Amino acid sequence: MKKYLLVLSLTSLAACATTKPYQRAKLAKVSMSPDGDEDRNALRAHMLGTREGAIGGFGHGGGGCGCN
Amino acid sequence: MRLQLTALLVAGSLAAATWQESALADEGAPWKINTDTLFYTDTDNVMVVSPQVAVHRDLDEDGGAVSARVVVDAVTAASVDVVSQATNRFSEVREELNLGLAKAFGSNLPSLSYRYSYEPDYVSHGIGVGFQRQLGSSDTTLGLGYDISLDTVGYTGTPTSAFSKKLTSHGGALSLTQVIDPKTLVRVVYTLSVQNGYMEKAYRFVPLFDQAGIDAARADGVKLNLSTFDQYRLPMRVNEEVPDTRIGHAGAVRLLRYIDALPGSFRLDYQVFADSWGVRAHTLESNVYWEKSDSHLFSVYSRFYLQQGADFWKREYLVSANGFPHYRTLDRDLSDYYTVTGGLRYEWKGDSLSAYLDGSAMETVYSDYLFLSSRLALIAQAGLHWQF
Repeated sequence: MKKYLLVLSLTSLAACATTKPYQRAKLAKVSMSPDGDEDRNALRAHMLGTREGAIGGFGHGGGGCGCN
Repeated sequence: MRLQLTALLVAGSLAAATWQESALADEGAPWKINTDTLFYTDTDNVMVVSPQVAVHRDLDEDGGAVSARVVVDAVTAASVDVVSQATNRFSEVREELNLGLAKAFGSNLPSLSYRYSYEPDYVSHGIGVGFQRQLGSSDTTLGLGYDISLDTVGYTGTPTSAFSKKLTSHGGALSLTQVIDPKTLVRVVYTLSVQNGYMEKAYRFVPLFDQAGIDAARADGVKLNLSTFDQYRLPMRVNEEVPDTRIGHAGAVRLLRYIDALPGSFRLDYQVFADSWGVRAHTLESNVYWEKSDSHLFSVYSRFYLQQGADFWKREYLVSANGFPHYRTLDRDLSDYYTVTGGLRYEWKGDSLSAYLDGSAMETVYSDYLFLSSRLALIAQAGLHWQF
């Protein structure tokens, strides 16, 4: 059942495509990148990862401590 | 030997990238060299300097690239973690190498990564695989990822034949990015983490108390803390002990909205985390970007992190008639606390060069930690990126 719901959700999202190529100027701006700068974020994510108990989500790389 | 290995791997990656160059001769600027440095200092006497260098070579215009990144953490610490164990100060260097490869095949983008991290008492190897696919159109992107980390924990100055522990970590991620309209997009992420093995710190010894000691401190009008705990604790100190398995779930949502009036964008992230140790955490982060011009970008951001500690976390561990508590830890990252961060960033973008400077302050308040009640950290990050 859960599998069908997931497929249905993904299909629904795919079907709600609304933007044409000429409408994507704002989406292409640097400030609209959902990933940001990968290298810059990696440094900060490691710093936060060694100081916050949570794991996963939008960041927190692994590999040793380098913390306290 | 490590440096030779690093050099060999980096050279191998770049050689592979160069091999692709002839096929991409008509592209504009496929190479990127990024240098970044993070500087961290706090009122708990910890200082970390983390310089890194990364090289990227685009393989296609749809996210395909080969990359190598080397980062070093130079840590100097005389924190409460250190001085409470009757040690004055320590300095340590951690080295990390990351290699990545991604190649687009139509609307599919598979990727592969490897990570090696070394410090004298901790070695980690990580392998990751990822897959991205556009669903229907470029407005919807599905991402899947899995990584495994194989860590070996040692003890400084002790051969691994005498002390060596293992930790294996698995991570799975599912993400969906959806363009809502020409100015708005949303990303949702779910991650599962499973850790199995040694998660204690071999250097940490947990002070133990009995009810008589707690009562004596109360009668003396003394609050137990870093300066007073030694007078009231029991003579023995025991190693940390935490469960060997930890399973965590994180759910996150990111909203990005372009605002013409700025001009710029607003980003809002919310994340919730829960694990099998009873840790619960909420993170809220906001970021406002102001595009003053094509070359100058300013941003202001804030982050709020709120955590409920592990079920077995205690400010003081009491010995009873049944002995001392089976699980005990001094890891403050497993305690109840919150953190508030505020920061500013400036970015300059030229034709092929770009640079940024980022500064933030982070205040952490521990509500139930024996050795520390708060900590103020200052963080600076700067970088120079070259694309050609």
